Amino acid sequence: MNYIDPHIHMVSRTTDDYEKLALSGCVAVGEPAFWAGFDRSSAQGFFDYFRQLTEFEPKRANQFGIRHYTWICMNPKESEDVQLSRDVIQLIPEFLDRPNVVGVGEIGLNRVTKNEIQIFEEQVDLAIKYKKLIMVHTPHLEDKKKGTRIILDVLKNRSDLVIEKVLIDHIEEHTAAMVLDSGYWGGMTLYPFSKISVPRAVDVIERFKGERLMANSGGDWGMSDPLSIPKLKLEMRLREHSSRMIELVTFTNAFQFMSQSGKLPLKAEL
Amino acid sequence: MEAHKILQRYFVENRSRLIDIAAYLDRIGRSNDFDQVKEDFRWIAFKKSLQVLLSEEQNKVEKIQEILSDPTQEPLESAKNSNGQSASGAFGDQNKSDCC
Repeated sequence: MNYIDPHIHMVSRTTDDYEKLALSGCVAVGEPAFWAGFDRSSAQGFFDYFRQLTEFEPKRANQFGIRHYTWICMNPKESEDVQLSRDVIQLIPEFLDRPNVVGVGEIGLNRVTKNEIQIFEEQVDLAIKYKKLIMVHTPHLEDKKKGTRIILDVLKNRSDLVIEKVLIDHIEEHTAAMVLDSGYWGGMTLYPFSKISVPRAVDVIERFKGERLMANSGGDWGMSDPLSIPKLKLEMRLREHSSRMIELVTFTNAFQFMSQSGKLPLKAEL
Repeated sequence: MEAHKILQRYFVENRSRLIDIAAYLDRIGRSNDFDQVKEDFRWIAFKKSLQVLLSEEQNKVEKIQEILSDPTQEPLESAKNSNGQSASGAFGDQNKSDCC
């Protein structure tokens, strides 16, 4: 059974990881723009990063039969610098029509500051203006619930927002209901220590019946496991979930969500 | 899945986690500056969370996540004065001084 990893930062992974993903049944990845582990000094650094996401990574993925889709944005962490963020936001439109770009993301909040909220709102404006999908990063650890609530408040104020075009990512038990009950797609990031573990993610799937839920590895330069989705599938099989339910949270929901971009092929072609 | 199957399947790995937590607490307790740690907001939140584990009530995960979450409503003025921009895993004095 094939799967999609809708949130993995392949720029931080080795080519070996592409091979492992392909061997484990991954047919497509979604790679949102994110913080590189250090703050970049100018908008030009982001321009080069966006080129990497739209030119280099699709070729690297293609060597292993994996389709590479990406999201362009100013990430929440560096959004604290408002002027730099606005310089970067000006660069985004020229990338949005590139063949593998599915939307604006991962925008959102990091420490839940006033500057971060301002830039989040400006990038929601951008996505709506260009009719693009949105991927939202919710904060880590003690900031998650407060940040998620404020993100939902910001989105609620946008009457021109199409809720079905928004994925709220990194949900956990204490934020899942507020996201899913509001009608958004919910992403669960399977991390070894922070965010959500594989068994807990399956608990959430059981609680919410898998509707509008998708799992991702969030693989990046930190402690993370690019093969966490196959591990989720195994856990679900051991708990005697149906093939349909496993496919729903590891392929179908991600496919349906990202297909709204018009950039994905037919399901059978993946 | 039936309770007895859940107990069986996950027992050894959770036994290991339980002993790891015990070892973590012992390690801190053996340290010379243990008294200082007792006032740390992370230690206090951790101990409070352990009480939830011992209770008979359900939804333990969310109750512990609540204990470990920032309960305030207002955004921070700036990330620059909030403990080096990194979340610490619990809410306490370090964060409070930056807030509101």
